[in-house]
Amino acid sequence: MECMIETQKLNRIFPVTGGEFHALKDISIQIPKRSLTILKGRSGSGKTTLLNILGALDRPTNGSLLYEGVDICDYSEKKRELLRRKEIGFVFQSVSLIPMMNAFENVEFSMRLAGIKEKRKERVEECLKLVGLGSRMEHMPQEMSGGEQQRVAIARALAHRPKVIFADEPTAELDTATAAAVMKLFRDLIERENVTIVMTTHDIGLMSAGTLSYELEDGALKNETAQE
Amino acid sequence: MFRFMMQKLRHKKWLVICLLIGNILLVAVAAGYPMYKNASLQRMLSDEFDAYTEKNGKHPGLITMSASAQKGEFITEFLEIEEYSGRVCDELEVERIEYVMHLSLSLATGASTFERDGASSPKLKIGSLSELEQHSTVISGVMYSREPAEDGCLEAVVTEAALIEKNLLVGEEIVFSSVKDADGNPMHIRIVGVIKNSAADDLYWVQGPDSYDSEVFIAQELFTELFRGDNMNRYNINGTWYVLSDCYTLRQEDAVQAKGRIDSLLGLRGVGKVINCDGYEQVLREFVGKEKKIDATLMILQVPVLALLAAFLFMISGQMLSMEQSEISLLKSRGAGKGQIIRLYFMQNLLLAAISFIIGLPLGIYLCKLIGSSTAFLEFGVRRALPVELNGEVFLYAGIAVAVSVLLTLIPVIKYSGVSIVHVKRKKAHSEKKLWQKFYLDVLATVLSLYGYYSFSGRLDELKESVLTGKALDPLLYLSASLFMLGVGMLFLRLQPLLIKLLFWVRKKTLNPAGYASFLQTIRTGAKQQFIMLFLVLTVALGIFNATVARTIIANAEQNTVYLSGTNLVVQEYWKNNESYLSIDPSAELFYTEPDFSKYAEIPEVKSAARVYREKIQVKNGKEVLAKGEVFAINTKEYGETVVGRSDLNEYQLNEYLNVLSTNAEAVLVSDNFRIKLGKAIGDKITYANAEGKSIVGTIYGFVDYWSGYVPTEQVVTDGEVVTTDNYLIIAHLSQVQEGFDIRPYQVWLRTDSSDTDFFYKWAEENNYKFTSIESMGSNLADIRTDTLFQGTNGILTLSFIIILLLCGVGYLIYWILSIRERELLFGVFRAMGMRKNEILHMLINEQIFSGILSIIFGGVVGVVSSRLFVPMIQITYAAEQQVLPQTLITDSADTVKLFAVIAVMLCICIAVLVRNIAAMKITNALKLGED
Repeated sequence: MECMIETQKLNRIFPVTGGEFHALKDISIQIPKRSLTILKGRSGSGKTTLLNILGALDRPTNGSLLYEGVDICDYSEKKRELLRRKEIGFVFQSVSLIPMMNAFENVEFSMRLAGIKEKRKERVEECLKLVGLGSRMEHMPQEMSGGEQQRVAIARALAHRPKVIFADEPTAELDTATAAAVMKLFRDLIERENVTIVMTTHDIGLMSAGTLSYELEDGALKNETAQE
Repeated sequence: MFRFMMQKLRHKKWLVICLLIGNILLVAVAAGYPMYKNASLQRMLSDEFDAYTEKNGKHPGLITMSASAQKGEFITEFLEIEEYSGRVCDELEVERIEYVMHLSLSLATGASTFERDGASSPKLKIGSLSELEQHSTVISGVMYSREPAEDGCLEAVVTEAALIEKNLLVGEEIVFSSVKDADGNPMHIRIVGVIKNSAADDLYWVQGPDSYDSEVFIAQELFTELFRGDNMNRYNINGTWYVLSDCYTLRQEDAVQAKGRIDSLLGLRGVGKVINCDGYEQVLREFVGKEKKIDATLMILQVPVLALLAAFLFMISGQMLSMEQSEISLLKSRGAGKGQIIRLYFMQNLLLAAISFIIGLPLGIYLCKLIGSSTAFLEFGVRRALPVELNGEVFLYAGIAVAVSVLLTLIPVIKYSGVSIVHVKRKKAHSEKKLWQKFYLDVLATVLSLYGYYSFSGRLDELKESVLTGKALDPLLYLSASLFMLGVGMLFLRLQPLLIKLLFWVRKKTLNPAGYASFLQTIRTGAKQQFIMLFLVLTVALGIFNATVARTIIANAEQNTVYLSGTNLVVQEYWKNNESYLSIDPSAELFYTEPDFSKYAEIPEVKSAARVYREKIQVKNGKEVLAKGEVFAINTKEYGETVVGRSDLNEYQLNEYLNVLSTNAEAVLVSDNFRIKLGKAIGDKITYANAEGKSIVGTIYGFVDYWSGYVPTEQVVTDGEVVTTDNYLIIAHLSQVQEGFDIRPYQVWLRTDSSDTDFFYKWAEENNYKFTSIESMGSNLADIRTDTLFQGTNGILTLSFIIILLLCGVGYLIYWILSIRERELLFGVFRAMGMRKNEILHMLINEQIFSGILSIIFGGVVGVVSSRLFVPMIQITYAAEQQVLPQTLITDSADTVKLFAVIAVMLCICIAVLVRNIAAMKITNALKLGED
């Protein structure tokens, strides 16, 4: 299977008062293309730190991070920004929509950032329909429920055709049924959009939903489970 | 609860500091106003008293009361006046310096018992002055005894003047056959001594000793015993009571009351009763009129800045509350009632108010002194200190300010305390239309203010007249101006989103992400910014407006003074004449000796000198008097070199008029009313005559509207009616006029190289030249700047301007810092999505341009427009009675530069804060991703 992201002995050390905090310890994982990879663990286990590094939001203290075989650890800030704009989509735990933009504009904004000028309207509509919000495009974030907002966020993460979507606890603030719907949506997206999705969760019930899952404990990899 | 409050305050220290600044300024301005007003009015009052002394050479605190009882008649009146004189100072609430009672009998012929050559039968008064002994020195003989001598003679002293005038001798005994004692015996007076005042500057001698030149003074006790009481109805007794009061102890706040007392005192005048208190009468009449005007003007000028301060407090407390919404709803969810929440905030506001009170009062004193030292707009100079004091009024104003601030900042609490978290969310979802927009209050305010403008501009003459009769700045006029700024400012708020939307639609497709986001931010959350934007518009507008008002009134007054003065120094030398000879031989011609004129040009400080002869004339047609006016006779070359001030007041430059005039000896320039009212044209001959009946013929070579010192129409208020008279001016050649009217004393105009004219006095003294008048333009100009009304206006406008700048800076900064803090999560999202720091900065700067810069620009426009519209009218209030020049709007670009420099600094600080915040921002922290 082709590898989208690969890490080798990733370490992340935060300076804290009176010493250092070893948040990630020698993490080596592989994330295949078109997979739904789940990073799981209790809070404080380091899964979000790992996700931030994978999503080029943060840099590892040492170790290497390969995107389709290319190490991005030495990328300049500018190159990383470009990477985030074009290749990556984010879905955050809490409501992360831009409050002054309606659903359509929120989704369109990621395309603007990625520099896509052609057929934006069609793509936005397509994405919003895909997440089941085709009829609520003009709504402002405040006018939507948490689940709806999260789906808009997913559509936004998707619109500029990134290679990877990172989702940090996307279901944490949703009820079980909505959460299940979001997970189903993720699997559909992989089918239809050819993306790779990496998400974190602490919800045991969702663990089996992914193609692949890594469990972290105290910053170290505990075990790796592949689903069929 | 208290701990919670303190924690809350600590947590929001920046907002709290802002609230404190606003509160402190509010207290300071509110308390500073009565302090300044009282202090400057007090200063004005003592200035008026000084001016009276200077003009009349008399102590302004002198009250003279006289009464005479004539052989039993008017005794009650006499006693009434006497009694009143004793308590008049208490009535006026001033201290008494001297109290002199002068009692005398009528003149009576006495017969000297001395057999000597030239001894006549002098007409003398028997009189007495209270406490004469203490205030006089005996220069010959002895002081009188208080008892009659053994031989029944009354001992008396006389002044030197009486001794000479009446040809008396010390030791001489005089018998008054017509003045008889109770037993019917004629009075015997023995002159025992001659006195003079013991000190030259003794205020006791209201009338100098020399004025008692026909009086023999006996002891007052003796006088009273002999001529008053039961004996009073047998004599004619004149009493004069000199009450010298310390008018400088009169407090300005008692002035109105004192004027009332003076009026009722003067009301006592009647047969046999004379009362004179010129000083008080004139000064108080003048003062009470001016006081009202100054009081009203200063009050009106304060209103906008107070309103802005209140709005600032309201804005900041609203901002603070909107940040505390979640805390309030938390408190509510824990069972806190609405009352408890209001109490909490009330306590908080009270605490802030108390601190503000303590800091604000001393600041008020400082501001008050600062205003007192202002010499022009945004200029401060050292001046004698204002007698600033804290009194009840000050505490009252400060107290009101505190109360208003506490209540004002509580209003948003009442609003917020009633809403639950559900409401908050729902409210967030709907940006409701503001009340003022729904009811078109902006349009209404604009229309009302324009109505005000048109109705005032239709009544300009009326306005001028009302000012002449002592009216203050019409509050409605100033209100119209303020309302105009507010209304147009709000109108801007209504239009600004439309403008932004329009721009957005035009550029939507091609906008970069940062631009796109900033447009949407401005369009969608614009309502939140409206207050700060309105604040900015008003700040800039009011700043420009204030600067223009202050500059204009001073500059116009100064230009007018320059015009009326003509040049730096206008002096009139004393000319010797033959007037004393004329009183012997009325048939002789009056004739003056012209002093040397060339000496003026030799004074090193004098640039040039000119002779200007001005005389009242009548324009005649045969016997008929066509008009009254003035001839202004000059030597064109001298005059052209000496006159200062604007040379562009007439159609042509001054020099062109002078050149035309110089072409013909008979040529005259005349004022334009010759053309309009008398129908004269160029080439017409006119005849004008002086008071002596001599006449001159001149040919009109040109018409002028203005000529240095020339007042075309004069308005005088008589019995509340304004009477306008036209003045006619003829400018002619000095030689021509001197030929026709003979040589008469002329003015000498001196242009000097500096406004300091001390050299002239020194020069005159050194060379022993005598002048009947010296008018210095420099000191006239200085008078304008020290005038209480001008100074107060300048000071208050300057102060308002500074406060506005401060509020604007603080308000804008705090608004921005909060707005950035609020959006940190959003910036994190933007960054995660790959937006660069520069792009976020760009976005924020765009927002600043849309809201801030646009408001500032618009505020500038509003300021200029409102100045154009309203300042000329406001200026009328300050115009001198002899405002001649067309009033021009004066702006000093330095003020605008200062204003915009401060705003630029403010914006730079904003941007620096932005850059720092954004550079320091960690995406992962901002997003607070996960729980790590």
